[in-house]
Order: sequence, then structure tokens, then C-alpha cells
Amino acid sequence: MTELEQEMILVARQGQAQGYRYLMNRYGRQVQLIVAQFVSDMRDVEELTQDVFVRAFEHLPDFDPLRATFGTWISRIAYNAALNHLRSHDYAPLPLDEEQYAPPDAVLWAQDDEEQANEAERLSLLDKAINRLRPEERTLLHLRYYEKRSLGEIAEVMEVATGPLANRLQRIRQKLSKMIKLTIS
Amino acid sequence: MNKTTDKEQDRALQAAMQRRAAQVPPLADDFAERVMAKMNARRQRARRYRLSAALTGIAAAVFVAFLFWPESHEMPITQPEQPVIAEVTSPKTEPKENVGAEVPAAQTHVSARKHVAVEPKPQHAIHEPVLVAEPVLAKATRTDSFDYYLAHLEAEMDALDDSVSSAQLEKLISADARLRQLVNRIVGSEVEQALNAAKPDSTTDYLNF
Repeated sequence: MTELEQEMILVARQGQAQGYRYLMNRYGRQVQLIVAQFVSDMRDVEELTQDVFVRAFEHLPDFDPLRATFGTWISRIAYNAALNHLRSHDYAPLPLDEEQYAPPDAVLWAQDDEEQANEAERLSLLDKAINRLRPEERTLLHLRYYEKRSLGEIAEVMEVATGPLANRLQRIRQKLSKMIKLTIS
Repeated sequence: MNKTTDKEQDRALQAAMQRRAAQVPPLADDFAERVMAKMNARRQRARRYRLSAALTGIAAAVFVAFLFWPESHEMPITQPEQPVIAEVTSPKTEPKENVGAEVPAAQTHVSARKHVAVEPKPQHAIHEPVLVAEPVLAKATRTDSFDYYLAHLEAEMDALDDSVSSAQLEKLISADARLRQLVNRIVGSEVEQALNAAKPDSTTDYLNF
């Protein structure tokens, strides 16, 4: 966390709009993309993103910079808010911390099947397969491959242990591979 | 068989997630203003809620205090002071059964005694005309209080029409414990007087023998 960010957090804690605006400009897009993994309607995404910041600013006194960065902290708020939004629509959350699954295979996608499709088709198939994942799984992929977070940081955001999270990530890659294979075949 | 390496898969997934992110439009220009407006609205709602909660608490406290506060209008019957003559007005309410004119019965029947008009306690389940006394508050004795209630009861009975059945009258009296006591007292005093009247005066008889 930079010094400017620390200063702006202090300014926001004092209730000054300048601090709030800085944090919204800095993390607005990040929060929006996390929420977008759960909600497809862009109006709902915008509304939820606003609610996330309102909640974050109301609980700003609870933020401890020694425990997590502000980005991780607000990402967790966004993740929980989006999940609760789905729960209000009778969505059953995916248990990410289950360790009952067998360790994933080392080899994942079969190149020989994918080579039968051209590049554009492969990309399209992969996009469609990601769309069919559960929201939690998409969020995991987003945090890992778009925000390039470590498993430890992702575990803080999603409040899951690191070990099961790594297994879950590999299972997701296997699932994508199967979906692509099924689509091709 | 040439298998896709993990790194290639990672690159493919990174590209896929970037394509997904690019499909999400940017936040609105007034996003920050909307958030600030929501925050202000929530603060005002919270302030209004705290104010209404405080007012409700104060009102509840006043209500409870009123409920448990000793009734100041009740006559302190233990004060042994001189009674004061007070005026008793006739019933203000119209008789239910149109039994007749309003009569200041209290003055008629208890003219020989001084009494204190006390504000009578509300009677239970009575739909008959109620004698309302001017609350000329003074120090009164227990005897004066009972005398008043006696006068009240007698006035009530006088005001009742003959068509009112005795069962209704019994119901009236038994509905109020105080009335029962007064009736017993009246009947008792009547019986005693009658007995005293019938009882021979031994001294007089002896002298007249």
C-alpha cells in the first residue's frame, strides 16, 4: 500500500470526500469486475458496486492495514456482497473449502482434441466454458489469472484455506478441459 | 501426443479472463457522486431512526411513570381533619332509561350532615347516570367518604325507574365491591335501627310500669 493510499484512507476515515473519491477511483473497476463474475445484468453490477463502497466506507474504521491491504479488504467485501446478492435469489453457494476431492491429474487439456479446432474456435469454446462455471469458480479464475493474485491473497478474499483452494483451481481447469472436449466432440 | 503445458493453459486462461473483463463497460461518470449520495441518505436515515427511538423511549418512560404514579385525586381518607361543606351537582349525563329529572339527591338525603364532596372513583361497568360531584377538595374522614357513597347509592336508586328489574339492580351492586359494602352497611344500619326501635327500653318501661 503506497503512502498516498494510506493518507487517503486516513482522510476518508475523517469523513472527507476527497479520501472517498480517491479510493473509488483506485478500486472501483476492481470491485466492479469481481461483482460482474456473479451478476450478468450491468445495472445490477453498477448498483452492487455502489453498495460495496457504501458498506466499505461505513466500516472503514474496522479496516486494519496490518492484516490486509485495502485492495484485498474491499475485494472481500465485494465477493461477500455479490454472494449474498445471489443467496437472496435462492442461490446455494459452492463450498470451495472441501478437501474431499481427489488430487487433480497433472495433465489437463488434451492438445490433440483442441488442435482439431482453429484458434478462434478454441478461444470461443474456452469463453463459453468459463461462462458455464459457478460464480465462485469464475471469481477464482479472475483473481488468479486477471488480477494475478497469489493463492494466499485469494484465500483472504474468499475466506477459504489455501490448500483446498489450490485443489479447487486445478479441478476448475479439468472441468474446463472436459467441457471443451465435449463441445468439440 | 503433444499435451498442452500448464503454462500455455495459464496463458489461455489469462487471455480469456481479460476478454471477459473487456466486455464489462466502465463505471458511470457520476459513480462517486451516487455513492456519496447513498452514504448521506443512510446517515440521515440512521439519524432519524435514533431520534425516533429516543422519542419512543421517552414516551414509554412517561407512560410507565404515569401508570405507576400514585393517583393524586384519590381522597386521603386517613386524614382526620374537619370536613368542609361542598356542593354536589346533579348528574350531568342523561339517564339511560329516561327515568326522570336530574335530582341533586345528595343534598336531599344527607342534608343534616356535613360532607365533603370527593371526586368519586369511576364505577365499573355501569351504564346508569353517574352523579358527578364538584371536586371541592378538603380534608375528609373515612366516615364522610362512606356517607357520600351512601348518598350516591341512594340517589342512584331513586333515579332508577321501577321498570328496572331487581336482577339488574343486583348486577349493578355486585359489579362493584364498594357498592356491596355500602349496601350491606345500609341494610345493617336499617336492621339495627329497626331492632333498636323494637327493643323495649327497660328503664322507661320500668318507670312507666
